[in-house]
Amino acid sequence: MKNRIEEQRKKRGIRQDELAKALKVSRQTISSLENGRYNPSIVLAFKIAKYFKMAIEEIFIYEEELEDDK
Amino acid sequence: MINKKYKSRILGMFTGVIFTVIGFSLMKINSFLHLDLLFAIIGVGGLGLFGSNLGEICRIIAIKKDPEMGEKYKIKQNDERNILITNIAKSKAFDLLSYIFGIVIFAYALSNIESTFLFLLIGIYLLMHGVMIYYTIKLKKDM
Repeated sequence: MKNRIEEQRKKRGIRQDELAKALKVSRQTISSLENGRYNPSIVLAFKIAKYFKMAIEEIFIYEEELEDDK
Repeated sequence: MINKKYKSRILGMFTGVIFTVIGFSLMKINSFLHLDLLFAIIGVGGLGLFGSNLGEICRIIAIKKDPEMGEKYKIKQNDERNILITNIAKSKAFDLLSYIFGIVIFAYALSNIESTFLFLLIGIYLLMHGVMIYYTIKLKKDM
């Protein structure tokens, strides 16, 4: 699953640690999310979407082919 | 007034000291009973208890002095990625332990070891897997 967290964060001029603090997660989690190494729980996904005032599907892009290959 | 958080930790520390003193003292004066290993385990266990409680007290004091650090610590503890990583690491360790335990039991079975000890090992092995099956069923019902 791809996401636009880094893009949205940079657009708003927020640092990783600031976003991490706001979402109450570690900075490493934000870094892993941005690199696509970690997929968040549905709760965290909602928190991220709420933080950016966007819909979940605008931030997280589900790629059926990639997921089916796993 | 001593905080409630400290009370249990201080009690734990004292219990640790008592265990350490008893364990090592009995080890020294014990000449007729051949329970050196048991007393050593009690002594070392006491040291562990003392150390872990002392560490916890230090952590509580550090958090009290620096609330921001406390908040960071709390976030790290509750971070979903950290929890997931810990759980995966634990499950991998369990898988490895199962193989090692199986090999150890097999090796002991081949050597002429007392059957009580062998059955004890088999019992522990089965208990470990029994607990896993219990939680699998329980979690399947809950989730």
